[in-house]
Amino acid sequence: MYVLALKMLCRDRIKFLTLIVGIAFATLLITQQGSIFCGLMLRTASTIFDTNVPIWVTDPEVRSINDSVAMKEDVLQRVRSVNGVEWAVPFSMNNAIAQSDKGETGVVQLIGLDDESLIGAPAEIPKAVLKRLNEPDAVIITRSRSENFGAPMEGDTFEINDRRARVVGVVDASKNFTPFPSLYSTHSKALLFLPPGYKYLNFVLVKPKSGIDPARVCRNIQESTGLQAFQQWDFVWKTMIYWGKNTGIPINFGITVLLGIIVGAAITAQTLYTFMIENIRQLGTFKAIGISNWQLASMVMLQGLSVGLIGFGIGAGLCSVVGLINPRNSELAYYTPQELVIMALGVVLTFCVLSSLLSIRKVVTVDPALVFRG
Amino acid sequence: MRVAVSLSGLKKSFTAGDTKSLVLKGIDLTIPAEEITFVTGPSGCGKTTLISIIAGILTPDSGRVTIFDTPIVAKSRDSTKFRLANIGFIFQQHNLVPTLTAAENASIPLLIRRIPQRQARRKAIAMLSEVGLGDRIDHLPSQLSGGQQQRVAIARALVGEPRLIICDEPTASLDAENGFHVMSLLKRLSSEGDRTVLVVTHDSRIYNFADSIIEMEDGQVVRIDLAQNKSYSNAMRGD
Ligand SMILES: Nc1ncnc2c1ncn2[C@@H]1O[C@H](COP(=O)(O)OP(=O)(O)OP(=O)(O)O)[C@@H](O)[C@H]1O
Ligand SMILES: [Mg+2]
Repeated sequence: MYVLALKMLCRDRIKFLTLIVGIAFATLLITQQGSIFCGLMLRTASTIFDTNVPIWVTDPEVRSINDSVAMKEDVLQRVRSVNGVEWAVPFSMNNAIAQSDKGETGVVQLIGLDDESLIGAPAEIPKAVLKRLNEPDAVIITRSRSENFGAPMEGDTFEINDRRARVVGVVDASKNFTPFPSLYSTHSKALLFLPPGYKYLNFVLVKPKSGIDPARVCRNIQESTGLQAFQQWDFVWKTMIYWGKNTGIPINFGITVLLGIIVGAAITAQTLYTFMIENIRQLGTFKAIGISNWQLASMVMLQGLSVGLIGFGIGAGLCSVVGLINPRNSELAYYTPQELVIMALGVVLTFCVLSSLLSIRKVVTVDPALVFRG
Repeated sequence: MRVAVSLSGLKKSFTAGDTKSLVLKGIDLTIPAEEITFVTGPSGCGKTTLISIIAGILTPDSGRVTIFDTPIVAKSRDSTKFRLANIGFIFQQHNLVPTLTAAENASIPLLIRRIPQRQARRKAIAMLSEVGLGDRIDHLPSQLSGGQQQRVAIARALVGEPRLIICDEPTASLDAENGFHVMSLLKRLSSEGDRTVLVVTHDSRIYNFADSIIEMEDGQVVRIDLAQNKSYSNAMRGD
């Protein structure tokens, strides 16, 4: 009987395709809206991913990577002496006004890396280019948003707070959420570019000793220095939540995503329910012959779940194709976490099951006498 | 004379809006086993209603239905099981599933009984050969003529070897020749298997296939005719 149920489903080509396309479209709608949302939120934390270190130490006031609260220079020594810390290096991030030699002025995000280790540089910067940061006045600029400065090339010069800076490399780092390009430099040079007086150390990057629980090391740092210490993903979350709370992205975009889910669910339910209702005469014939309600319900449920899974597969496949053809650093923020795919599967299957149940209710209560009438 | 179906005091009314109309006004009837019985009467006199009640698909207001000594409680699980095992249906619209082939359509009653796919298909094909469609087993209903479709419906009704076959206007959508073929087929197959056939029809062209004809009018049985070639049947008079 179940084989027949599937044959009835597939052989009606046009209805079958309509169903599959409808559900695939619904899935795509949910997953791609969700992916853009996730991509956008992750972008708020892209500097954290680019830096890619296990532990971030910050002033207790800091609520996101974009909060630059300077700590005293001596925190570096104090962090280094904490139990379980393998190494700790400075990392500074400050906005500064820059002027290109073509006369264009704008804000840049000036990042200072540890002079010796250069830890925290994005993996995209080739080793050889990174080494050149030790040359006098050297900076590396990210390509994204650098158009504001006439898209400088290697060898071009800048002025930052009246101090000369020379571009030794242009790299594709991840797009972040600020509209400014990032300038990578060393910590000591960054201090020279910035107005004198402050120490400008915003972050200490830490690697825990191997075999020691990073969470434990974070606690140790907090207890012995009074600073905040986050593991990478905790800091990512803190940053995303900060941006979420302060920009209204989750609410505004969340409504769009929710709308996507509702529309997707409605399409799924509607197409499936229509299909079932159009089959009601045939199912009525089965009832007249003597099919039990239980068998009938299983047939309908099987049909509903089959189209649900096939449609979902195609929709999710299309979503990941979009993710694959979308260049890593394009304007389209796009990230599809596993959880999103599972959530979409849940939504699609839930609505397939719900509309199947609705159809079952209709079919089970159908008067088989109708098949005797013309 | 063995009895296939016995009805007593059968009443049924329908309410449409606030008017209630009595469609069956107390029917007492005995239908003999292993014979072909026709039910005729003007449109709207309650024929379809009557067979729906016999099949246990429609609930009567009052009265009793017994088929082969089994009381039928409409819409109960037991009556559904009983129907599946003992009654084959041929509908006026044949009600074949358009997306299933002749063999698949004919195997439906067996598959509902959870008979394995291959076995069901084998039986369905054998039955289709019996009705002369051995070379059309993989055709879809849309690829068959009206008469052929009705023969698939006959194969479907007979494949489960039911003791009672109920037909509602089996020849209404067929021309005289095809109608004749379908009825000869039904007669041959039912006499081979000692089956009881109950046919609702308007079609006077096929009356001589009947062993007896029950005439209804306005929700009541008004006459029972025995075909002239038939010996007197006491059962019809309820003796
Ligand atoms: N579900 C229903 N609700 C209301 N009235 C109904 C219903 N089913 C049948 N009727 C009415 O009951 C009467 C008998 O209907 P039925 O279908 O039994 O007639 P019939 O003898 O089979 O007619 P025909 O020869 O045209 O098929 C008709 O007047 C019809 O309108
Ligand atoms: Mg009728």
